[in-house]
Amino acid sequence: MSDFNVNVCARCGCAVHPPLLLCPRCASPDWRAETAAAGTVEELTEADGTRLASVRTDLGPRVIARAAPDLQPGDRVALSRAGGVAVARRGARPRRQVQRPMGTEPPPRLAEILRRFGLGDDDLAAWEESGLQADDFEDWLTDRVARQPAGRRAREVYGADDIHDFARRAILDALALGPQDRLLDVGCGGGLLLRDALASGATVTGLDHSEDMARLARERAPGADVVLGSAEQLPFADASFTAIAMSIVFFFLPDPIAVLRECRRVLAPGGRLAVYTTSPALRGTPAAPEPVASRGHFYEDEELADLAHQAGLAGAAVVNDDGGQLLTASAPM
Amino acid sequence: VSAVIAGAAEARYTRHPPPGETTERFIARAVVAALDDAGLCRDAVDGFAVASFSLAPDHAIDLAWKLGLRLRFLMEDTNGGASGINMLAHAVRAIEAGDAETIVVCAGDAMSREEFRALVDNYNAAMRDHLAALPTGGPNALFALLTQRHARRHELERPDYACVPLAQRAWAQRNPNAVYRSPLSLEEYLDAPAVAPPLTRYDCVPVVAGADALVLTAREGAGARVRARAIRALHNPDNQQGDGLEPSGFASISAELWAAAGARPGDLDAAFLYDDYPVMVLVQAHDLGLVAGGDLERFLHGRLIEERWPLNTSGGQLSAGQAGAAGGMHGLVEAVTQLRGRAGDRQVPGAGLALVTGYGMVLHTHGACHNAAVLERLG
Repeated sequence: MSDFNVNVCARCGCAVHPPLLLCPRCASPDWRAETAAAGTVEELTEADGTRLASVRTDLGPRVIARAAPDLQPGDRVALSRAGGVAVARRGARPRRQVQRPMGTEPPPRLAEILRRFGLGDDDLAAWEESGLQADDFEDWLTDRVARQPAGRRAREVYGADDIHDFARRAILDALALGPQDRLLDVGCGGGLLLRDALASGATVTGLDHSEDMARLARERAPGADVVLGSAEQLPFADASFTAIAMSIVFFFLPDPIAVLRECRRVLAPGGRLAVYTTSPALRGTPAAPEPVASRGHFYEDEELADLAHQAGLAGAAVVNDDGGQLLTASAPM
Repeated sequence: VSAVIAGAAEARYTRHPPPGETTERFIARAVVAALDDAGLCRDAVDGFAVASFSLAPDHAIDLAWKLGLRLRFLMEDTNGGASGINMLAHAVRAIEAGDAETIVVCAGDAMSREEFRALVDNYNAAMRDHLAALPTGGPNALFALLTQRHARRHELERPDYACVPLAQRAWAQRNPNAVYRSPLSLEEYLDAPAVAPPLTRYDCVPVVAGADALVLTAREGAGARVRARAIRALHNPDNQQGDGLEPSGFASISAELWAAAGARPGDLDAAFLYDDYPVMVLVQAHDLGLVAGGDLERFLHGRLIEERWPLNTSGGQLSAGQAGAAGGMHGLVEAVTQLRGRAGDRQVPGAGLALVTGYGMVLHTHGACHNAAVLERLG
């Protein structure tokens, strides 16, 4: 058994598999091998008694690999090469930020910013294709990585088990869901909270305004109903839910009171709300870096509780754990 | 000078060719029948194009020699499911440029099980070096993965995909040359043993021996004729870096194709989409504008099943069979047969405008060659 290698363009860092002659992105003929140690299972099938998987490697390229029998879509896998084919088995560490070496192009400043956010060539291409002006870059970047995540990298980040797991746990602990509950996750992202909530037996609905995220959430939480839509106008009837979750979303809401009012409307009387967000203490730290930080809204604990109160929710309380805030409240009886 | 399609024929497909049958004999039968259909003799032919996976060590010129053709135009195409439309495009341009007057375009294959296995394992260097050892059993496993991806994205399930083979099987019952003609029920489809989940035998083309041929000419002649209003192609649009589904190469050529044809999808009387797997039929139908409002479920259950809209009226490759490279010509021959009013029990009344597509050459994870032609009946 040996490492599973892919070819990486020596000039622009574009990774490909199987090997090509000229780089699809920059047309350079120079390559170096790089070990693709890990990836994420996309789909699985079985043919002629062999189980195989489409695996998206952390370096980017897809590979068709012989799959260990216990694998499921979404699993993180370690890759190796044996018997002339790639082999995927459980045991990869959670995805780390892959820092791709960048060459002369793209423009160094832009490339540097993208790299700091773990973004790569396909994201750069998406920016170039967006047709936006340079002044829009920071807004675009904020959307791309956090506000309305899109692209391969965003799917990997928000589909990974360790993304915002602290917030997920805090919310689910606070809501203490049971089989009789109907949960709405506003801004469900990659759907991991939905997935974990399903384990309680609750009926689970997710809402997101990113098509990529809605799609990912359907993959990650096959039992959940996932809807594309806006938090400002929840596409649900009054009193549809007994619980609402909002994980690392509140920060981006331009009109938080309007959203909380919508939450109150779709909650049944006595329904619980749990919101996890980031306090001003974390502004500018890795938890809320620029340019994202200046495009969001931080609230002190008291302000947060007051917003809920203004929206007509009852019993608002905030617990602040090292800068992470958990707001809980409920719809009036 | 303008080129018209004056004849079309298929050398009857068969699951189990008798011993001694060869690719070149199937091709010869198709060529003779197509010339007969066009009312032209062999000596009128001055151009020849062929696609096959199993001619080696022979090539197009060897076939021309054995068929007794004296040629001003000669080509061999290796683009599998896209070879038929690719050759059609070359032949039309060659005739209209005056390089040749009458061109026979043909494709065929007759392979043993072992030969077929060797073909799929050595389809290209990437397959040979990275996939053949798995084994994947050819493209079935790859399209099983693509089907799952498509199903998840569009929230479709097996009874939805079933509409394609079921509707096509209903057409095949009226095609005496289809290898599978017995009625197929949803229950049979759902109960069929898996080939590569979620694909079962009814989602995968049966491998057959056979050949197809067209005759294009600038000569005047009697009988109904067919003209290519527009042909467009896109090959290797994504370097295999995309997900194989969207955007497909078809989405990229759609607007240009319809503009060049001076027609809209709603004008079509029939369509002949490359049906190696039901998922690809849906991708093509959607990306070429045949799915009203993008509603795949309504297209499947309403358009195909309830309305019996004429899609792949031969039964398609899923019921009629895939004779290797002839798969790229099967839809063309059926389209020309329909447009010339010679489709017998399955004739679409008044068929005047048809769409034909080609798709193929899986390089690593999905097909790289896409083309499409809008054909019309003349006169």
